[in-house]
Amino acid sequence: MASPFRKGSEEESGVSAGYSNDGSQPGGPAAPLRVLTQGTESKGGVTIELENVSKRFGEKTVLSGIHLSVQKGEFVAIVGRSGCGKSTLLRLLAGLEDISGGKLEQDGRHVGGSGQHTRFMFQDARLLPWKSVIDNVRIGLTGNGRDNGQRAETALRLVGLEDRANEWPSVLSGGQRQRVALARALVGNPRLLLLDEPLGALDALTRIEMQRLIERLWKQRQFTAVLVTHDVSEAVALADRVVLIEDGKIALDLPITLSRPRTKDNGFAYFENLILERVLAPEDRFSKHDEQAVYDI
Amino acid sequence: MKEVELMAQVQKKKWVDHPAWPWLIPVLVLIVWQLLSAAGLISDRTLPAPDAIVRAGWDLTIDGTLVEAIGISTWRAFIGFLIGGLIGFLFGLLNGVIPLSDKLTDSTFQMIRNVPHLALIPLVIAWFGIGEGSKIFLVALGVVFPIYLNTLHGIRSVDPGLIEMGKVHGLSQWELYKKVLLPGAMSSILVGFRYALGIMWLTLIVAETIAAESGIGYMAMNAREFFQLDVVVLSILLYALLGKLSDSMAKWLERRWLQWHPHFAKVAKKKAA
Repeated sequence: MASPFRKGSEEESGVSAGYSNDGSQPGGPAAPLRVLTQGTESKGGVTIELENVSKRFGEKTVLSGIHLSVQKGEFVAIVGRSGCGKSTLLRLLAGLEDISGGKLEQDGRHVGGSGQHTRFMFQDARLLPWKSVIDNVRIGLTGNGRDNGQRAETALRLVGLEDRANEWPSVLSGGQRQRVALARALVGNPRLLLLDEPLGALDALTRIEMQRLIERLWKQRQFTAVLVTHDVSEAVALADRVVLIEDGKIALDLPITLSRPRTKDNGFAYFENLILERVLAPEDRFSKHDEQAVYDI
Repeated sequence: MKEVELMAQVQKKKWVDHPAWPWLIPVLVLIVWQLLSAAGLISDRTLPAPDAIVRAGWDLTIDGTLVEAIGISTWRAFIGFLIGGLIGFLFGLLNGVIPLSDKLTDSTFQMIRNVPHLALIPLVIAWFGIGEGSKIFLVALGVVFPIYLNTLHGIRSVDPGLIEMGKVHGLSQWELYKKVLLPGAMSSILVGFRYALGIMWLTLIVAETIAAESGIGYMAMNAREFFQLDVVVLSILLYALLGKLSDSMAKWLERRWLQWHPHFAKVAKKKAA
């Protein structure tokens, strides 16, 4: 059901080859990053392979027949209406839920539970109110390494909050809390970052700021990122590929062939419209009928 | 105009914040009491004058009975609290985390909790005599339940989102407990702690008054036999002071451990480690 459409969309994206990704990756990591990457042997992102994955909660099938492969260092956005199963898919990747059928592999290996190199960003920041900002960032580091303090400071500097290190989370704004959560996710130098609508609760300006921050850090650190969002524009702004989930199945898998940094030009609008049309398709058909009915009268 | 009002408000604020305020009523009561006694309106066979009580306190301090009595009572209270508190805390924690443990022990706890522990005094005297064991047992029994209930409630009301966050950030069971569960439950545990302190003194007073051969309660009962009302009142005042002291201690712990809590956030910035 979904495949003919996907084929069509691939052709369409072929038409828009003019907006191809220039594929530029940053040269070397900046100085503070070197401190962060010290002492961790794992570098770069993971690959993810989902084969015919399904997920059931009791009688209810939430996801079925999911085939998805994510390249090393790729940024994939998952969009869909609420309740379509996109968050469940992310939780499967995080190991927060077990798959009911099929195969889920990271780097060619089966993973059970939450991997040590995987980090998850929630819609709310989920900072521990009884720990200072810097200690909250330290949560992302395991063990008691001697340079943990320094690494946490560096991560805070990455998100521009080094001067709030010793404050309680309760005095920060929503955007600042989410930035602390981002620092906490990145301090452990993850190879896979899963983002569950992390910007959904932020105001428009803070959102754009955070999107740029996430994109910049993703480029620098070259981890694999999977973002779940209901905001198509956000998906197009950030992702290499947008996956649309509808009724627990992949309905569209569209590479975004725009160069970075992305501006809201014609190409951007083209992709945004393409995806939006597809998301809204069923309702659109109804509304056209309605219009016709009105004109007929 | 506005500035003047603001100034007045600031001054008023300072005035209200003065630490002497809580002591005003107790001191006034003492003065009136002393005056009425001096005027002969209160017979010293009903209630001895404050100066008589102070003199009695002084005499008992000199011969060492007072210090010994306070020492023994405080020791009993502390040991009983320690035993009861530990048991309550451990079971609260276990039952909050492990469903099987909860199923196994919670209803038993609830049944025992509903027996007034002071009603056990005759039985406890039969078991332990009037030695230390009976007092410590009763205090521990009284303290277990407020600590147990509040620890359990605290652990259960920790935001599951935070626990999930801890799991995806790879915290071990021990770290999860130390960094998320325990601090999250702390404000509730401290409520139980304060409540248990009150029960601790109450239990001790009753137990010492009925069955003891040392301690403050025994001192009071002994004095009653010789109609030394000044010593009786002194004992009562001592209990009030000890109760207040332990409550202040609990408050101090709250301020120290719940600095992050908006209610205690007078110092917003944590002192840099």
